[in-house]
Amino acid sequence: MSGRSNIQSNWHPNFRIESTLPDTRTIRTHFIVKVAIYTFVLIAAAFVLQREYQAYMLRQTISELELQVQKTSSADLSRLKKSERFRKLALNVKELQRVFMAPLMAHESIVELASIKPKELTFTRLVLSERVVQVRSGRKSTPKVIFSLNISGDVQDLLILTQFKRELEESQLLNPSGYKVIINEDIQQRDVDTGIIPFQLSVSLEPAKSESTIK
Amino acid sequence: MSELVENLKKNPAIFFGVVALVICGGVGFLRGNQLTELSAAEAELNTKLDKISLNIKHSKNIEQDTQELETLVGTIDERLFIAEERATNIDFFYSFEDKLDIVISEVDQLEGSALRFSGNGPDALKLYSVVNYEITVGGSFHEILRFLYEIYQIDPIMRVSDFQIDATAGSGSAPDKLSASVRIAVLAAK
Repeated sequence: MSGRSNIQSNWHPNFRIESTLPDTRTIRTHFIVKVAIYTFVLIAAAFVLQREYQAYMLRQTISELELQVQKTSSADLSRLKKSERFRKLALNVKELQRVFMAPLMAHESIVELASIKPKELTFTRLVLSERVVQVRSGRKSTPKVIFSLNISGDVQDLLILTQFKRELEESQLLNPSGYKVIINEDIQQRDVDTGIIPFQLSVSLEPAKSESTIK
Repeated sequence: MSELVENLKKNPAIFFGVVALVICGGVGFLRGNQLTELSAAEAELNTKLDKISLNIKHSKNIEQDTQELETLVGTIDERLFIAEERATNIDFFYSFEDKLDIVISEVDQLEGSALRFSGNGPDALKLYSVVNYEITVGGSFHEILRFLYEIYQIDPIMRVSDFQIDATAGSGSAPDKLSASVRIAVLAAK
């Protein structure tokens, strides 16, 4: 092919030297190479340009976003400071709530007990207490508060005590949500002279999720 | 090699095409990372803006809420006991005798905070402290109940944490009289 321009000075071409012969193929190789190279060049240029255009658009977006951030950042900083102040103040209220966190209020418990107490039953002692116990969970032990209400009294008919215990179990006030309520009864020997049977009911309120052993 | 150069010289279009390809490849190689970097920067800015808009959403009425909370905390602070002022504090509890028909025979300010609210306790307090008082009070059922209610709703912040009410102590001359031992947890300044 390259020999096409190198024309022999002979009076007619030497057909044995192939490179000096004209390109007579249907599809010329020259043409294919050129088309292939131009196609590659076009594809590469389009790829590079497309990426450059994308980068240009991104830069524009970024500068717009930066402008927006700049505009809002001072107001945002001030809001964050106020929010931090609010958070700190809220801690005071949370501590106050922690002090008041108890399933039973003294006066409400007494009123409730008085309202469900059968006439035939007498209270001799009411004890409300809260104590801290260590609750073990695996190797770790965490302190938890357990509340208890002990009712001591006298009754002549044990069925009355059963009725009272049932009412106690059903009482809304003595069954606060989030606590597991356990009621134990202890019945002592009957007095032979009076027929009075002293009893003790212990209502224990434990945080509902404490499933592990208690020391 | 020389043949290739020769061929390229003869076909300048191909030569320029190859040069253009090399340039495109070079540009692509050198600036390949810029899109990734720019996309990362854009994503970061978008995240920042999203955060700002979330802050705007969450801090709606923040000024008003903070003011209300400040007032509330101010009210709490005004109602705090001061543990060191023992006489004033004890006298506060004795003053219930004037308001109610009860007899307060003993008021003890207990040393140290209750285990529940101390440093290792389950409800440890950092901003406030709790002072405990053990009070022995005598009276009728209604008066003792009233006393417990007064403790609940009085201005200083306090709560009855434990009590023991005995009916037996009042037997004899005044059978309707009860004796109660009440432990009160009072919110105090740290």
